Amino acid sequence: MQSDKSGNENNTPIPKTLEARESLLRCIIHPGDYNKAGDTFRVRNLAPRKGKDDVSSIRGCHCTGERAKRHGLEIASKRPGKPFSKLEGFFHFTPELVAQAFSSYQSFIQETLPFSVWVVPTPIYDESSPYVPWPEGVVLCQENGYFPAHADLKFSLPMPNDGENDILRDHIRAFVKVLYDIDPNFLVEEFPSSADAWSGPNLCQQLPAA
Amino acid sequence: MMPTQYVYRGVRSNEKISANTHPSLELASLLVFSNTVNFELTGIINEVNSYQHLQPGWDGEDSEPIPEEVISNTVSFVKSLGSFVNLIDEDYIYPTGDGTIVIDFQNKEKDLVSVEIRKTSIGYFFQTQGHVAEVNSESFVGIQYLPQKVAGAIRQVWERK
Repeated sequence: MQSDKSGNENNTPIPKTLEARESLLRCIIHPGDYNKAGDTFRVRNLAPRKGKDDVSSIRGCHCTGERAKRHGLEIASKRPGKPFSKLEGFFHFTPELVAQAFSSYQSFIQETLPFSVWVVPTPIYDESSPYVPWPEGVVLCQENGYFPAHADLKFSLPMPNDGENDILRDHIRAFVKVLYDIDPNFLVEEFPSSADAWSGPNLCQQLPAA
Repeated sequence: MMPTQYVYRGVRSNEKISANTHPSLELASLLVFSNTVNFELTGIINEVNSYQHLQPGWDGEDSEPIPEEVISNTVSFVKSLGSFVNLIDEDYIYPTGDGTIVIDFQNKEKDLVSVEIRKTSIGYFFQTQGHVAEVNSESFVGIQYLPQKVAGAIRQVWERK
């Protein structure tokens, strides 16, 4: 068994179900995903794109820091409109927080919301055809396009196009803000660099028992 | 030695991020102070107009350019803000990969009106005292680029600034 600073071990089979307090990570890319003051995550980072009903995340307890960081660096490199973009860190959340945020948001609004949201494991078996059934024998942090530690924040409805269902779009944006605020937790590296090694805190956060 | 754990919890606890919290955020911390002086209307309009140069894929896969109508709607919206324009900081206006433009009106109490300007409509949510108080969407009608409800929410942020 090998491990890195994430505290996670390689070659450990990944559970096919999510724990309520399991660490989930959303890559935060600079610039654009948070304001310069560093105190406000921008809603667009956790809201699905138009026509999509999911937002990718990494299962922090089932992926090495190095692999998670490399995933973030790849995403940062795919933003041609932002030539200086880089991985700033990870927004940490859990399935339980998603449920709490939804419940909290519903209580604010005091009406039945037009959507629901949850988290689902979505292991990537082959990047050219994502979301195929769970591959037998695939273990933690495989290379060659495998990314079994992938999970999605899943909405019951896709983000509407302009003019189609604008109020749903606004509800999803507002919900994302509540999710950010319910337990804002931003994990960044001690020594940021473009190197593969992750020098930040353990990506598998040890949360107190319920 | 255990690595330092930089867990930022600023939004809820109102902790201020400090220059020695994290090296990469040192510059950001300094910039925020210089940015507290809101830039002028012309600067905002120039910023908005600069988004028309964004190409497909500018913000990753599936991201779209900002349509001309959205640029035009945003400029008209900003021009109709009057003194509320002083709530806009350069940091609080940004394009999205869906081809919209977001303007956040925020005060030191963390009250927020987040406005999203689209081709045919304007949507917003208003968060005050840690709660989402209002979510709404309105079509642009005629030359009315600052709907009354949006103005009302922004006014509440303005009055508590």
